[in-house]
Amino acid sequence: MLVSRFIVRRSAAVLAVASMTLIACGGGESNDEAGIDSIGEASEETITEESRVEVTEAWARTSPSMTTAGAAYMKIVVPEDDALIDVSVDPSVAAMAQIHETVMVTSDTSTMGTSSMDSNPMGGAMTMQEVDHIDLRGGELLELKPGGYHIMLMDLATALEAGATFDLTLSFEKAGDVVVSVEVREDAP
Amino acid sequence: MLVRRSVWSVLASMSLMACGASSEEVRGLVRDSPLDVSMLAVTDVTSQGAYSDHVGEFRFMAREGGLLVVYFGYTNCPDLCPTTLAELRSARKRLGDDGARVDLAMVTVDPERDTPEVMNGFLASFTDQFHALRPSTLDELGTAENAFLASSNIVRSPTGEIEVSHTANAYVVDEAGRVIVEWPFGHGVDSMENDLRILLG
Repeated sequence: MLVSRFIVRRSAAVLAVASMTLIACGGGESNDEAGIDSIGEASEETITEESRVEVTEAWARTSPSMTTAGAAYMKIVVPEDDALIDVSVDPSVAAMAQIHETVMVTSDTSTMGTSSMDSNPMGGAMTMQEVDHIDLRGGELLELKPGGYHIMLMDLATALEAGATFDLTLSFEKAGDVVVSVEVREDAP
Repeated sequence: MLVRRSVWSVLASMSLMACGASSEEVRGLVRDSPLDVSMLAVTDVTSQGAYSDHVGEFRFMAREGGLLVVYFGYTNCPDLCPTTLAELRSARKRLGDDGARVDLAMVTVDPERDTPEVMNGFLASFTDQFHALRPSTLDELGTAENAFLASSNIVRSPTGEIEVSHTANAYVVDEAGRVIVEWPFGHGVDSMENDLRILLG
């Protein structure tokens, strides 16, 4: 996993890169040399690792021609139990951003009018729904990924083209706002 | 109201081949009795790409020596549809020249918003070899879905939001119009490549 895709526009950005490598490598114990090199003169005394939200591998898929919806994905680790309560994006990117979840349609979502017979992985229908918030447990990885939680971008102002980046603001109940740089890619990192 | 049900007994007869056990085995879902979709016909609105000269109705059969991957989706779908179609794009690329033996057909489950122009623009970003299929009636869509044991539904909320649900499987169809493998959502590039390589022979 590539460390370089990670940017948090906060004072502790460089330090964040250091701890991020552990996450990106699946919680491995060894320090990634590239990550260590890149932290430069980060001061661990300024902000401790426990006090920050870590967001890695933030990416959005290129939007096909003529389409107006997009989706962004990322990995999030919060230092303490928290909740992702809102997301926002500049209007120059999209009119609105929402926290969404893709789910199997089951009899529980009876508004869909489908029967429980459809709630199987072999032929069942799936749909997206907006979620009010996502609860996060301190130190545990939350992965926003295709087919699960994602940030839906509605009414894209321009097509999302590979190589471009844009800022997305994540609002946490306790940690406050975190701005992440999202890379537009054809495929997952 | 578009509500169609899958048949449990048929699903129960599906057998899941071992995942990742051997590169010699298909990893998708294989039914004991393959679905036959050869009699099905859906309105073809393809105007771009390799099959832009196709008009009228599309029959669900692969070209000679090739395979046809069928997907039911819609273009305002930001998560599931582009994920699966991007995986297929990557798998075809990895197959090199053989990738060109694999065609894509997408049936829109949202024909009202998916105009022919929008569908062609959407699909062209994934492959040059696509068939844009846009049912002209809900019956036509329902008949097609039933043949694949798929389903979809569209709900418009009072506030104007449109919620679409749909089966997110992709179906690999052979020359005879039989569904020989089904890929559930999230099958992945590696498994698609593996299956296509085996099925192409």
